[in-house]
Amino acid sequence: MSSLTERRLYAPWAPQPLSVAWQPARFARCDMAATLLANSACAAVPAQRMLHCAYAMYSSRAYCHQYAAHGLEEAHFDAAFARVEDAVACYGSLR
Amino acid sequence: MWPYESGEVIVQNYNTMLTLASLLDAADAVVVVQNEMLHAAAHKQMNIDRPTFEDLNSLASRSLASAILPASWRPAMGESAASRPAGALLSDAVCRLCSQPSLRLLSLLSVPQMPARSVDFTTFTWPALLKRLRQMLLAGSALEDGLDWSVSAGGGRAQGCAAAVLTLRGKVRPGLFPPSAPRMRLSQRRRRGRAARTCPA
Repeated sequence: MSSLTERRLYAPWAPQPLSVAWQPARFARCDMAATLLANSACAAVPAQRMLHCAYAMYSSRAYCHQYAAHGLEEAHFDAAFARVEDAVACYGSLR
Repeated sequence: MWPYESGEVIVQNYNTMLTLASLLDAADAVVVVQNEMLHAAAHKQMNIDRPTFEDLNSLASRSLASAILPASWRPAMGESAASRPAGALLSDAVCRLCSQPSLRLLSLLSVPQMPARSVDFTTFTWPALLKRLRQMLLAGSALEDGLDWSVSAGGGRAQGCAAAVLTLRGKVRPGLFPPSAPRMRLSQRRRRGRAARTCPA
């Protein structure tokens, strides 16, 4: 247990870094199985890559006309970019 | 489900970005499961030559089931292990994981990853499983295979983590868990404070 309770794994401000739930029933025929749901910066890594590629396309407004044809204007795009960038930046400060 | 990073449609980065923006507005928490990781897991761990979307879905749903099927919270400090433990609800998990509204992306890490036919011939131990889970968390990889063991806690390359919920299934004794770390610290600090007051320096 101690391997996952180490305080250095988690952000210093986290009030309750690790919660543990258990269930004695076997899962998927395994005698032991463990799953971690983590609010970790690694979830933001693919988002960062995706943003980079999307910005590269958006800088020349590539394919935007296809979205505009369905009523998705530039303002929508800008708002969505800002939303995702905010989220990714918050994870950047966690690292 | 996070799409493959290349090779699907040309506008997939736009679509992913717009979808994620809407999800972040609507959902309390978003569990990010990457097709690429599932594909690699199916290929390397499950020994499937050409994984289909069905294979990827079954892997993802297995991990998700392990995280959200019924389980009980381990008894908190001061509660006896014999008292009826509280059931772990999905809403509890979200409260514990996403205490900060700006951090709402969750990763799903699951062990063991192996073909069903190998399970009967494998011996599991909790320390070994948890050690791998810890390294997956540090290295930011949902893959049990090919882990980067050089990443260490507190090091520059370690992935920061705000909170985590660990679900253990199988041969579990209530005595397996020590009381949760932060609460223990609080009581230690209190005790230390009291000691300092009683012994003049």
